[in-house]
Amino acid sequence: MDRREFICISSGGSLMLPEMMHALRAQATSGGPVDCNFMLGPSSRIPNAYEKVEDVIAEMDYYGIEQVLAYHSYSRFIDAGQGNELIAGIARQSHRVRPCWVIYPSPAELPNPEEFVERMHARDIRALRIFPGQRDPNTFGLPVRSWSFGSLFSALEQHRVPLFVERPLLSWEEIYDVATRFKRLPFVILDAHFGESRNIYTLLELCPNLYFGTTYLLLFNGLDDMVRRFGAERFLFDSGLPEREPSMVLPIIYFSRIREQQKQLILRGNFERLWGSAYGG
Amino acid sequence: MADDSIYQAVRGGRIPKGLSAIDVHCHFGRFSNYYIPNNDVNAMISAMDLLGIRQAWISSIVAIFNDVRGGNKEVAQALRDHPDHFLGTTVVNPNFPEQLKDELKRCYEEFGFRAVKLHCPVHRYSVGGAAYEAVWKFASEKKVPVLAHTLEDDMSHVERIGKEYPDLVLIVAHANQLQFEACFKVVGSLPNVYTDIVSSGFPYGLIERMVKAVGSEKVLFGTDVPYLDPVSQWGKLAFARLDDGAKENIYLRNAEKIRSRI
Repeated sequence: MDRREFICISSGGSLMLPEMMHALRAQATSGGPVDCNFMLGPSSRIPNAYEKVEDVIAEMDYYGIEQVLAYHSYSRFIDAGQGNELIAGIARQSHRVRPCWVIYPSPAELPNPEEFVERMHARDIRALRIFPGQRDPNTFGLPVRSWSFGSLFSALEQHRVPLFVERPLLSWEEIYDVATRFKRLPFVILDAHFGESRNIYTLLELCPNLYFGTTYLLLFNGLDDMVRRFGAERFLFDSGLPEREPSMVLPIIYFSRIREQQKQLILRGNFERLWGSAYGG
Repeated sequence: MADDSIYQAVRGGRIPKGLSAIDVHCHFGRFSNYYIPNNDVNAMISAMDLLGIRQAWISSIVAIFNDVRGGNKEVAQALRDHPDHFLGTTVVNPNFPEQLKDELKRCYEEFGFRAVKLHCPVHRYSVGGAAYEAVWKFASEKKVPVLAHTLEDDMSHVERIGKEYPDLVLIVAHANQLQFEACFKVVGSLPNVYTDIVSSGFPYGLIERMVKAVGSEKVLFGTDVPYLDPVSQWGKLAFARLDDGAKENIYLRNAEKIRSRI
Protein backbone atom coordinates (compact mmCIF):
# COMPACT_ATOMS: atom_id res chain seq x y z
CA MET A 1 0.00 0.00 0.00
CA ASP A 2 1.16 3.51 -0.74
CA ARG A 3 2.29 5.27 2.43
CA ARG A 4 0.16 8.30 1.62
CA GLU A 5 -2.94 6.17 1.18
CA PHE A 6 -2.18 4.54 4.53
CA ILE A 7 -2.41 7.84 6.31
CA CYS A 8 -5.90 8.46 4.96
CA ILE A 9 -7.26 4.95 5.35
CA SER A 10 -5.78 4.11 8.72
CA SER A 11 -7.43 7.05 10.42
CA GLY A 12 -10.75 5.21 10.10
CA GLY A 13 -14.27 6.58 10.43
CA SER A 14 -16.62 7.83 7.79
CA LEU A 15 -16.18 11.06 5.88
CA MET A 16 -17.96 14.07 7.31
CA LEU A 17 -19.41 17.18 5.78
CA PRO A 18 -17.44 20.37 6.49
CA GLU A 19 -20.30 21.75 8.62
CA MET A 20 -20.37 18.62 10.78
CA MET A 21 -16.61 18.76 11.26
CA HIS A 22 -16.83 22.47 12.08
CA ALA A 23 -19.44 21.72 14.76
CA LEU A 24 -17.29 18.93 16.24
CA ARG A 25 -14.27 21.22 16.45
CA ALA A 26 -16.36 23.98 18.00
CA GLN A 27 -17.60 21.57 20.68
CA ALA A 28 -14.03 21.06 21.75
CA THR A 29 -13.29 24.74 22.34
CA SER A 30 -13.21 24.36 26.10
CA GLY A 31 -10.47 21.80 25.79
CA GLY A 32 -6.71 21.67 25.65
CA PRO A 33 -4.07 23.38 23.56
CA VAL A 34 -4.17 23.78 19.80
CA ASP A 35 -0.74 23.45 18.22
CA CYS A 36 -0.49 25.62 15.11
CA ASN A 37 2.80 24.20 13.80
CA PHE A 38 2.57 20.53 13.02
CA MET A 39 3.64 18.46 10.03
CA LEU A 40 1.99 15.22 8.99
CA GLY A 41 3.31 12.71 6.49
CA PRO A 42 6.60 11.01 5.69
CA SER A 43 9.89 12.84 5.68
CA SER A 44 13.37 11.62 4.78
CA ARG A 45 14.85 14.23 7.12
CA ILE A 46 12.84 13.49 10.24
CA PRO A 47 13.15 9.96 11.64
CA ASN A 48 9.98 10.08 13.71
CA ALA A 49 7.74 11.75 11.10
CA TYR A 50 4.16 10.59 11.54
CA GLU A 51 2.90 8.24 8.90
CA LYS A 52 -0.20 6.98 10.69
CA VAL A 53 -2.94 9.13 12.17
CA GLU A 54 -3.01 6.98 15.30
CA ASP A 55 0.66 7.87 15.86
CA VAL A 56 -0.20 11.54 15.54
CA ILE A 57 -3.03 11.22 18.02
CA ALA A 58 -0.80 9.28 20.44
CA GLU A 59 1.83 12.00 20.27
CA MET A 60 -0.75 14.74 20.80
CA ASP A 61 -2.11 12.83 23.79
CA TYR A 62 1.36 12.44 25.28
CA TYR A 63 1.75 16.21 25.42
CA GLY A 64 -1.89 16.94 26.18
CA ILE A 65 -2.43 18.68 22.86
CA GLU A 66 -6.04 18.56 21.81
CA GLN A 67 -5.86 19.72 18.21
CA VAL A 68 -3.24 20.56 15.63
CA LEU A 69 -3.12 22.85 12.63
CA ALA A 70 -1.19 20.60 10.28
CA TYR A 71 0.21 20.73 6.79
CA HIS A 72 1.25 17.64 4.89
CA SER A 73 4.91 16.92 4.18
CA TYR A 74 4.01 16.36 0.53
CA SER A 75 2.81 19.97 0.32
CA ARG A 76 6.19 21.24 1.34
CA PHE A 77 8.58 18.78 -0.20
CA ILE A 78 6.84 17.19 -3.19
CA ASP A 79 3.68 18.74 -4.56
CA ALA A 80 1.42 21.32 -2.95
CA GLY A 81 -1.77 20.13 -4.66
CA GLN A 82 -1.24 16.52 -3.68
CA GLY A 83 -0.24 17.35 -0.10
CA ASN A 84 -3.17 19.72 0.30
CA GLU A 85 -5.61 17.01 -0.75
CA LEU A 86 -3.97 14.55 1.64
CA ILE A 87 -4.23 16.86 4.64
CA ALA A 88 -7.81 17.80 3.74
CA GLY A 89 -8.64 14.09 3.64
CA ILE A 90 -7.08 13.44 7.04
CA ALA A 91 -8.86 16.43 8.57
CA ARG A 92 -12.20 15.17 7.25
CA GLN A 93 -11.67 12.01 9.27
CA SER A 94 -10.35 13.42 12.52
CA HIS A 95 -11.68 16.51 14.25
CA ARG A 96 -8.32 16.79 16.05
CA VAL A 97 -6.55 17.77 12.84
CA ARG A 98 -7.21 21.13 11.24
CA PRO A 99 -5.91 21.40 7.71
CA CYS A 100 -3.40 23.99 6.59
CA TRP A 101 -2.72 24.35 2.89
CA VAL A 102 0.51 25.30 1.19
CA ILE A 103 0.98 27.03 -2.16
CA TYR A 104 3.86 27.96 -4.48
CA PRO A 105 3.06 31.36 -5.97
CA SER A 106 4.24 31.47 -9.56
CA PRO A 107 1.98 32.29 -12.54
CA ALA A 108 2.26 28.73 -13.85
CA GLU A 109 1.27 27.17 -10.54
CA LEU A 110 -1.02 29.83 -9.16
CA PRO A 111 -2.53 31.73 -12.09
CA ASN A 112 -5.31 33.26 -9.99
CA PRO A 113 -4.70 33.72 -6.24
CA GLU A 114 -8.21 35.01 -5.65
CA GLU A 115 -9.66 31.85 -7.18
CA PHE A 116 -7.32 29.75 -5.07
CA VAL A 117 -8.48 31.42 -1.87
CA GLU A 118 -12.10 30.90 -2.95
CA ARG A 119 -11.27 27.23 -3.38
CA MET A 120 -9.79 27.15 0.11
CA HIS A 121 -13.00 28.73 1.40
CA ALA A 122 -15.16 26.15 -0.32
CA ARG A 123 -13.14 23.40 1.38
CA ASP A 124 -13.18 25.20 4.75
CA ILE A 125 -9.38 25.59 4.74
CA ARG A 126 -8.74 28.57 7.02
CA ALA A 127 -4.97 28.85 7.13
CA LEU A 128 -2.14 28.98 4.61
CA ARG A 129 1.53 28.29 5.02
CA ILE A 130 4.41 29.24 2.73
CA PHE A 131 8.07 28.25 2.70
CA PRO A 132 9.83 31.12 0.94
CA GLY A 133 13.56 31.50 0.56
CA GLN A 134 16.26 30.92 -1.96
CA ARG A 135 19.14 29.21 -0.22
CA ASP A 136 17.56 26.28 1.58
CA PRO A 137 16.69 23.47 -0.86
CA ASN A 138 13.56 22.78 1.19
CA THR A 139 12.05 26.14 0.28
CA PHE A 140 10.27 27.42 -2.81
CA GLY A 141 13.18 29.33 -4.31
CA LEU A 142 11.31 32.62 -4.08
CA PRO A 143 12.01 35.67 -1.95
CA VAL A 144 9.11 37.49 -0.27
CA ARG A 145 8.57 40.47 -2.57
CA SER A 146 5.51 42.20 -3.93
CA TRP A 147 6.23 40.77 -7.40
CA SER A 148 6.37 37.20 -6.07
CA PHE A 149 3.82 36.97 -3.27
CA GLY A 150 1.94 40.26 -3.52
CA SER A 151 -1.23 39.11 -5.28
CA LEU A 152 -1.51 36.06 -3.02
CA PHE A 153 -1.12 38.15 0.13
CA SER A 154 -3.68 40.59 -1.18
CA ALA A 155 -6.23 37.78 -1.67
CA LEU A 156 -5.50 36.37 1.79
CA GLU A 157 -5.82 39.82 3.32
CA GLN A 158 -9.16 40.40 1.68
CA HIS A 159 -10.54 37.21 3.25
CA ARG A 160 -8.59 37.52 6.54
CA VAL A 161 -6.99 34.12 6.03
CA PRO A 162 -4.05 33.78 8.43
CA LEU A 163 -0.65 33.24 6.86
CA PHE A 164 1.97 31.15 8.68
CA VAL A 165 5.67 31.34 7.90
CA GLU A 166 8.89 30.43 9.69
CA ARG A 167 11.11 33.35 10.62
CA PRO A 168 14.38 31.76 9.32
CA LEU A 169 12.84 31.67 5.84
CA LEU A 170 12.48 35.42 5.52
CA SER A 171 14.24 38.52 6.79
CA TRP A 172 12.97 40.94 9.41
CA GLU A 173 12.82 43.54 6.67
CA GLU A 174 10.54 41.26 4.65
CA ILE A 175 8.34 40.62 7.69
CA TYR A 176 8.03 44.35 8.30
CA ASP A 177 7.30 45.00 4.65
CA VAL A 178 4.52 42.39 4.43
CA ALA A 179 2.95 43.35 7.77
CA THR A 180 2.83 47.05 6.91
CA ARG A 181 1.83 46.64 3.26
CA PHE A 182 -0.97 44.15 4.07
CA LYS A 183 -2.22 45.63 7.30
CA ARG A 184 -5.33 43.44 7.63
CA LEU A 185 -3.52 40.18 6.88
CA PRO A 186 -3.19 38.05 10.05
CA PHE A 187 0.51 37.25 9.77
CA VAL A 188 1.89 34.56 12.09
CA ILE A 189 5.66 34.21 12.47
CA LEU A 190 6.85 30.81 13.66
CA ASP A 191 10.30 29.89 14.99
CA ALA A 192 11.29 33.45 15.89
CA HIS A 193 14.30 32.96 18.14
CA PHE A 194 14.56 34.57 21.57
CA GLY A 195 18.06 35.74 20.60
CA GLU A 196 16.32 38.15 18.22
CA SER A 197 14.23 39.65 21.00
CA ARG A 198 14.93 43.22 19.94
CA ASN A 199 13.48 42.56 16.48
CA ILE A 200 10.49 40.73 17.95
CA TYR A 201 9.71 43.52 20.42
CA THR A 202 10.10 46.23 17.80
CA LEU A 203 7.84 44.59 15.24
CA LEU A 204 5.22 43.70 17.84
CA GLU A 205 5.16 47.41 18.63
CA LEU A 206 4.97 48.52 15.01
CA CYS A 207 2.71 45.88 13.40
CA PRO A 208 -0.61 45.07 15.10
CA ASN A 209 -1.42 42.33 12.57
CA LEU A 210 1.73 40.40 13.49
CA TYR A 211 1.58 37.32 15.74
CA PHE A 212 4.33 35.07 17.03
CA GLY A 213 4.47 31.34 17.64
CA THR A 214 5.91 30.49 21.02
CA THR A 215 8.29 27.59 20.29
CA TYR A 216 11.49 29.56 20.43
CA LEU A 217 10.35 32.36 22.74
CA LEU A 218 12.55 30.92 25.49
CA LEU A 219 13.67 34.29 26.78
CA PHE A 220 14.21 34.47 30.55
CA ASN A 221 11.02 36.13 31.89
CA GLY A 222 10.16 36.75 28.24
CA LEU A 223 6.58 35.56 27.96
CA ASP A 224 5.50 37.48 31.07
CA ASP A 225 7.15 40.63 29.79
CA MET A 226 5.88 40.40 26.21
CA VAL A 227 2.31 39.68 27.33
CA ARG A 228 2.45 42.63 29.70
CA ARG A 229 3.70 44.95 26.96
CA PHE A 230 1.83 43.72 23.89
CA GLY A 231 -1.08 41.59 25.19
CA ALA A 232 -1.58 37.83 25.21
CA GLU A 233 -3.52 38.14 21.95
CA ARG A 234 -0.28 38.31 19.95
CA PHE A 235 1.06 34.82 20.74
CA LEU A 236 0.08 31.32 19.63
CA PHE A 237 1.25 28.01 21.02
CA ASP A 238 3.16 25.94 18.46
CA SER A 239 5.41 22.91 18.70
CA GLY A 240 7.32 22.18 15.47
CA LEU A 241 6.47 18.49 15.89
CA PRO A 242 7.70 16.04 14.74
CA GLU A 243 11.10 17.69 14.32
CA ARG A 244 11.11 19.27 17.77
CA GLU A 245 9.27 18.78 21.02
CA PRO A 246 6.82 21.10 22.77
CA SER A 247 8.39 20.08 26.07
CA MET A 248 10.19 23.39 26.56
CA VAL A 249 7.47 25.81 25.59
CA LEU A 250 4.37 24.20 27.12
CA PRO A 251 5.75 24.49 30.68
CA ILE A 252 6.77 28.09 29.99
CA ILE A 253 3.15 28.89 29.20
CA TYR A 254 1.78 26.78 32.06
CA PHE A 255 4.08 28.26 34.72
CA SER A 256 4.32 31.86 33.55
CA ARG A 257 2.99 34.53 35.87
CA ILE A 258 0.36 35.76 33.45
CA ARG A 259 -3.33 35.31 34.18
CA GLU A 260 -5.03 31.98 33.46
CA GLN A 261 -7.24 33.64 30.86
CA GLN A 262 -4.14 34.92 29.06
CA LYS A 263 -2.62 31.42 29.08
CA GLN A 264 -5.78 30.06 27.51
CA LEU A 265 -5.59 32.68 24.78
CA ILE A 266 -2.05 31.60 23.92
CA LEU A 267 -2.76 27.89 24.18
CA ARG A 268 -5.93 28.02 22.15
CA GLY A 269 -8.03 31.17 22.08
CA ASN A 270 -5.94 33.22 19.71
CA PHE A 271 -5.78 30.45 17.17
CA GLU A 272 -9.55 29.97 17.42
CA ARG A 273 -10.05 33.68 16.84
CA LEU A 274 -7.86 33.76 13.71
CA TRP A 275 -9.35 30.52 12.40
CA GLY A 276 -12.87 31.72 13.07
CA SER A 277 -12.34 35.16 11.53
CA ALA A 278 -11.24 33.86 8.15
CA TYR A 279 -13.75 34.60 5.38
CA GLY A 280 -15.64 36.93 7.70
CA GLY A 281 -16.37 34.24 10.32
CA MET B 1 5.73 8.39 43.89
CA ALA B 2 4.65 6.57 40.73
CA ASP B 3 7.28 5.94 38.09
CA ASP B 4 6.00 8.70 35.85
CA SER B 5 4.62 11.15 38.40
CA ILE B 6 6.92 13.94 37.15
CA TYR B 7 5.58 13.55 33.63
CA GLN B 8 1.99 13.34 34.86
CA ALA B 9 2.44 16.55 36.83
CA VAL B 10 3.97 18.60 34.03
CA ARG B 11 1.41 17.31 31.53
CA GLY B 12 -1.26 18.54 33.89
CA GLY B 13 0.41 21.94 34.20
CA ARG B 14 1.75 21.32 37.69
CA ILE B 15 5.18 21.26 39.30
CA PRO B 16 5.56 18.05 41.32
CA LYS B 17 5.68 18.61 45.05
CA GLY B 18 8.96 17.65 46.67
CA LEU B 19 10.98 17.55 43.46
CA SER B 20 14.31 19.36 43.89
CA ALA B 21 17.11 20.23 41.53
CA ILE B 22 20.62 21.60 41.37
CA ASP B 23 21.40 23.80 38.40
CA VAL B 24 25.04 23.16 37.45
CA HIS B 25 25.01 25.46 34.42
CA CYS B 26 23.80 28.92 35.27
CA HIS B 27 25.15 32.38 34.59
CA PHE B 28 24.84 35.76 36.20
CA GLY B 29 24.84 39.35 35.00
CA ARG B 30 24.10 41.53 32.01
CA PHE B 31 24.32 40.58 28.35
CA SER B 32 24.21 42.91 25.37
CA ASN B 33 23.47 40.62 22.42
CA TYR B 34 19.73 40.55 23.01
CA TYR B 35 17.20 42.06 25.35
CA ILE B 36 16.51 40.04 28.51
CA PRO B 37 13.71 41.45 30.70
CA ASN B 38 14.01 41.59 34.50
CA ASN B 39 17.43 39.99 34.49
CA ASP B 40 18.41 40.44 38.10
CA VAL B 41 19.22 38.30 41.08
CA ASN B 42 15.71 38.51 42.53
CA ALA B 43 14.20 37.19 39.30
CA MET B 44 16.73 34.34 39.33
CA ILE B 45 15.85 33.36 42.86
CA SER B 46 12.16 33.63 42.15
CA ALA B 47 12.55 31.22 39.20
CA MET B 48 14.64 28.85 41.32
CA ASP B 49 11.98 28.80 44.02
CA LEU B 50 9.25 28.12 41.47
CA LEU B 51 11.07 25.07 40.11
CA GLY B 52 12.50 23.72 43.34
CA ILE B 53 16.08 24.52 42.35
CA ARG B 54 18.00 24.37 45.63
CA GLN B 55 21.24 25.74 44.31
CA ALA B 56 22.54 27.28 41.09
CA TRP B 57 26.20 27.14 40.13
CA ILE B 58 26.67 30.60 38.67
CA SER B 59 29.38 32.01 36.45
CA SER B 60 29.67 35.63 35.43
CA ILE B 61 28.73 36.73 31.91
CA VAL B 62 30.82 39.85 32.39
CA ALA B 63 33.81 37.62 33.21
CA ILE B 64 33.26 35.41 30.19
CA PHE B 65 32.92 38.22 27.67
CA ASN B 66 34.83 41.16 28.97
CA ASP B 67 36.29 41.49 32.44
CA VAL B 68 37.39 38.35 34.28
CA ARG B 69 38.25 39.94 37.59
CA GLY B 70 35.32 42.38 37.67
CA GLY B 71 32.83 39.68 36.65
CA ASN B 72 34.02 37.13 39.19
CA LYS B 73 33.80 39.83 41.84
CA GLU B 74 30.13 40.42 40.95
CA VAL B 75 29.44 36.73 41.51
CA ALA B 76 31.27 36.95 44.85
CA GLN B 77 28.83 39.67 45.90
CA ALA B 78 25.83 37.59 44.85
CA LEU B 79 27.26 34.67 46.80
CA ARG B 80 27.66 36.84 49.90
CA ASP B 81 24.08 38.08 49.53
CA HIS B 82 22.54 34.67 48.81
CA PRO B 83 24.82 31.96 50.14
CA ASP B 84 22.03 29.40 50.31
CA HIS B 85 21.07 29.77 46.67
CA PHE B 86 24.35 29.97 44.79
CA LEU B 87 27.64 28.21 44.35
CA GLY B 88 30.29 30.46 42.83
CA THR B 89 32.00 29.36 39.64
CA THR B 90 35.33 30.89 38.64
CA VAL B 91 35.65 32.07 35.06
CA VAL B 92 39.18 32.09 33.64
CA ASN B 93 40.46 33.36 30.31
CA PRO B 94 43.20 31.20 28.75
CA ASN B 95 44.31 34.07 26.55
CA PHE B 96 45.83 35.65 29.67
CA PRO B 97 47.61 32.62 31.14
CA GLU B 98 49.71 34.71 33.53
CA GLN B 99 46.49 35.84 35.33
CA LEU B 100 44.76 32.49 35.23
CA LYS B 101 46.39 30.81 38.24
CA ASP B 102 45.99 33.90 40.40
CA GLU B 103 42.31 34.14 39.53
CA LEU B 104 41.69 30.48 40.36
CA LYS B 105 43.40 31.00 43.73
CA ARG B 106 41.69 34.32 44.47
CA CYS B 107 38.19 33.02 43.71
CA TYR B 108 38.74 29.80 45.67
CA GLU B 109 40.37 31.32 48.74
CA GLU B 110 38.95 34.83 48.91
CA PHE B 111 35.46 34.32 47.48
CA GLY B 112 34.82 30.66 48.28
CA PHE B 113 34.01 29.63 44.69
CA ARG B 114 33.85 25.86 44.29
CA ALA B 115 33.63 25.29 40.52
CA VAL B 116 35.33 26.52 37.34
CA LYS B 117 33.81 27.56 34.04
CA LEU B 118 35.59 27.50 30.68
CA HIS B 119 34.07 29.05 27.57
CA CYS B 120 36.12 27.86 24.60
CA PRO B 121 34.03 29.43 21.78
CA VAL B 122 34.03 32.91 23.33
CA HIS B 123 37.74 32.72 24.17
CA ARG B 124 38.51 31.01 20.85
CA TYR B 125 40.67 28.53 22.63
CA SER B 126 40.50 24.74 22.51
CA VAL B 127 39.93 22.84 25.74
CA GLY B 128 43.11 20.95 24.82
CA GLY B 129 45.22 24.14 24.94
CA ALA B 130 48.26 24.40 27.21
CA ALA B 131 46.93 27.27 29.31
CA TYR B 132 44.21 25.03 30.69
CA GLU B 133 46.70 22.58 32.23
CA ALA B 134 46.77 24.81 35.32
CA VAL B 135 42.98 24.46 35.56
CA TRP B 136 43.06 20.66 35.41
CA LYS B 137 45.75 20.52 38.12
CA PHE B 138 43.99 23.01 40.36
CA ALA B 139 40.56 21.42 39.96
CA SER B 140 41.95 17.91 40.57
CA GLU B 141 43.71 18.99 43.71
CA LYS B 142 40.78 20.97 45.12
CA LYS B 143 38.18 18.49 43.85
CA VAL B 144 36.13 21.27 42.24
CA PRO B 145 34.14 20.46 39.08
CA VAL B 146 34.94 22.16 35.78
CA LEU B 147 32.11 23.05 33.40
CA ALA B 148 33.54 23.38 29.90
CA HIS B 149 31.69 24.81 26.92
CA THR B 150 33.86 23.04 24.37
CA LEU B 151 34.55 23.54 20.68
CA GLU B 152 32.84 21.08 18.39
CA ASP B 153 36.03 19.07 17.68
CA ASP B 154 37.26 19.10 21.29
CA MET B 155 36.05 15.70 22.41
CA SER B 156 39.37 13.91 21.77
CA HIS B 157 40.98 16.47 24.09
CA VAL B 158 38.29 15.86 26.69
CA GLU B 159 39.04 12.15 26.48
CA ARG B 160 42.76 12.76 27.06
CA ILE B 161 42.15 15.16 29.95
CA GLY B 162 39.63 12.83 31.60
CA LYS B 163 42.16 9.99 31.49
CA GLU B 164 45.16 12.07 32.59
CA TYR B 165 43.32 13.62 35.53
CA PRO B 166 41.20 10.89 37.12
CA ASP B 167 40.43 13.08 40.15
CA LEU B 168 39.00 15.79 37.95
CA VAL B 169 35.24 16.11 37.39
CA LEU B 170 34.73 17.55 33.93
CA ILE B 171 31.26 18.49 32.68
CA VAL B 172 30.86 18.90 28.92
CA ALA B 173 28.32 21.71 28.57
CA HIS B 174 25.46 21.47 26.07
CA ALA B 175 26.42 17.87 25.21
CA ASN B 176 29.04 19.49 22.99
CA GLN B 177 26.22 20.94 20.81
CA LEU B 178 27.23 19.85 17.36
CA GLN B 179 29.03 16.61 18.11
CA PHE B 180 26.52 14.72 20.22
CA GLU B 181 27.70 11.23 19.34
CA ALA B 182 31.35 12.00 19.99
CA CYS B 183 30.33 13.53 23.31
CA PHE B 184 28.26 10.53 24.34
CA LYS B 185 31.15 8.18 23.50
CA VAL B 186 33.58 9.99 25.81
CA VAL B 187 31.06 10.68 28.60
CA GLY B 188 29.92 7.07 28.49
CA SER B 189 33.42 5.67 28.71
CA LEU B 190 35.02 7.85 31.41
CA PRO B 191 33.65 7.86 34.97
CA ASN B 192 34.77 11.43 35.69
CA VAL B 193 33.30 13.08 32.58
CA TYR B 194 29.67 14.25 32.57
CA THR B 195 27.41 16.24 30.31
CA ASP B 196 24.36 18.48 30.81
CA ILE B 197 20.98 18.87 29.13
CA VAL B 198 21.22 22.60 28.43
CA SER B 199 20.33 23.85 24.95
CA SER B 200 17.96 26.19 23.18
CA GLY B 201 17.29 24.10 20.12
CA PHE B 202 16.30 20.58 20.91
CA PRO B 203 15.80 17.79 18.43
CA TYR B 204 13.06 15.35 19.23
CA GLY B 205 14.05 12.69 21.78
CA LEU B 206 17.56 13.90 22.53
CA ILE B 207 17.42 13.47 26.31
CA GLU B 208 16.24 9.89 25.87
CA ARG B 209 19.10 9.25 23.41
CA MET B 210 21.54 10.85 25.82
CA VAL B 211 20.45 8.69 28.75
CA LYS B 212 20.44 5.57 26.61
CA ALA B 213 24.00 6.31 25.50
CA VAL B 214 25.64 7.34 28.77
CA GLY B 215 23.20 6.44 31.58
CA SER B 216 21.18 8.80 33.75
CA GLU B 217 24.06 8.91 36.27
CA LYS B 218 26.21 10.89 33.83
CA VAL B 219 23.77 13.63 32.86
CA LEU B 220 23.29 16.86 34.80
CA PHE B 221 20.56 19.45 34.95
CA GLY B 222 21.29 23.05 34.01
CA THR B 223 19.34 26.08 32.82
CA ASP B 224 21.70 28.59 31.18
CA VAL B 225 19.89 31.42 32.99
CA PRO B 226 19.68 34.27 32.03
CA TYR B 227 20.21 33.31 28.39
CA LEU B 228 17.23 30.97 28.61
CA ASP B 229 14.06 30.67 30.63
CA PRO B 230 14.88 27.94 33.17
CA VAL B 231 11.40 26.49 32.81
CA SER B 232 12.34 25.40 29.29
CA GLN B 233 15.17 23.18 30.53
CA TRP B 234 13.24 21.95 33.53
CA GLY B 235 10.27 21.15 31.30
CA LYS B 236 12.07 19.16 28.66
CA LEU B 237 13.42 16.80 31.31
CA ALA B 238 10.03 16.57 33.02
CA PHE B 239 8.39 15.61 29.71
CA ALA B 240 11.13 13.13 28.68
CA ARG B 241 10.16 9.50 28.28
CA LEU B 242 12.21 8.39 31.28
CA ASP B 243 11.16 7.04 34.65
CA ASP B 244 11.19 9.29 37.70
CA GLY B 245 14.35 7.68 39.06
CA ALA B 246 16.35 8.64 36.00
CA LYS B 247 14.93 12.16 36.09
CA GLU B 248 15.75 12.56 39.79
CA ASN B 249 19.33 11.50 39.05
CA ILE B 250 19.59 14.26 36.49
CA TYR B 251 17.73 16.96 38.39
CA LEU B 252 19.53 16.42 41.67
CA ARG B 253 21.40 13.28 42.71
CA ASN B 254 24.31 13.41 40.27
CA ALA B 255 25.10 17.01 41.17
CA GLU B 256 24.80 16.20 44.87
CA LYS B 257 27.41 13.47 44.44
CA ILE B 258 29.77 15.82 42.65
CA ARG B 259 29.23 18.49 45.28
CA SER B 260 29.93 16.06 48.10
CA ARG B 261 33.45 15.51 46.73
CA ILE B 262 34.38 19.18 46.96
